[in-house]
Amino acid sequence: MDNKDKLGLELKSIMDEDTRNINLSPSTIDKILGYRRKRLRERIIDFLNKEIEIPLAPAIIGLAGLLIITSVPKDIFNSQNIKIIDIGSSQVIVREKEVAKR
Amino acid sequence: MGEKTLIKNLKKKKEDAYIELVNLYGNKLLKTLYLMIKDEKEAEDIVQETFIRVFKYIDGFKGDSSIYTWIYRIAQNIAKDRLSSRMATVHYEDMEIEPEYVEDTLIGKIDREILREQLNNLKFIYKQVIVLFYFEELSIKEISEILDEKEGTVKSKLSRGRDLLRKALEKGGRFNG
Repeated sequence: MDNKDKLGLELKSIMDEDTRNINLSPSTIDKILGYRRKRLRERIIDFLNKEIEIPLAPAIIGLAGLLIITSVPKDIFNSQNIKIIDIGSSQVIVREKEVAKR
Repeated sequence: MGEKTLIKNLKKKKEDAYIELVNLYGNKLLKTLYLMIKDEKEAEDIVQETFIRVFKYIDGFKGDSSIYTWIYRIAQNIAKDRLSSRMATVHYEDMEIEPEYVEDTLIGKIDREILREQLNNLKFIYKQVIVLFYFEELSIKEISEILDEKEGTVKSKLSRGRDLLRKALEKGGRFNG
């Protein structure tokens, strides 16, 4: 079926003419787009539902590093010597540290 | 932005994509609906509702047709619900389907004002396909997808609508379409 015959062209021309000044009003466009502007609640839900992509290798390395840091005692490299001397019901803690030689 | 990118961004709920979609199809849809129902306010309300539904259900768009066709289908459904009283029900299964388009026998000068008047007076079901075919320049297949009707039915409606217009033009007066 051809829409470029005489009647078709005439119809198209009439319809173009009739709708020349028909356009969406700014208020309607605002209403349409305003519907999509996210509210705070929607943004929070979106954030919570967001898929986060984490690269596996750096994630494993990072996790292993964290485990090492937390599991190894802090004073492992400290060469301090602690002596506890009991005097009656009291205790005296003596910490010996190496003093840098001059 | 290509159509695929536009759809992808709409599904990602990007604000720019919404604006682009309204800019691309808003006025076009309004003009088409206005031609069908001749009520600018009503047409604008339908456009508004259409886009709100499009945004809401974009995740369900599978890309079987162009987004443009999909938007029109939604608009047609809304228009059908809102304007059901204006639409006459015709059983096309009983209607003879013309295998080919009947040759245009309209010779000579077309009276533009009569044609405009007759077009406006045409029943909604005929005007609908005439607007989609001649104004939107959609194919029979696309119209059948929008209206969810067989291509033969669309062709019949188009031929019938054209016949009514042609007869009215020949008589130079009113018809009972």
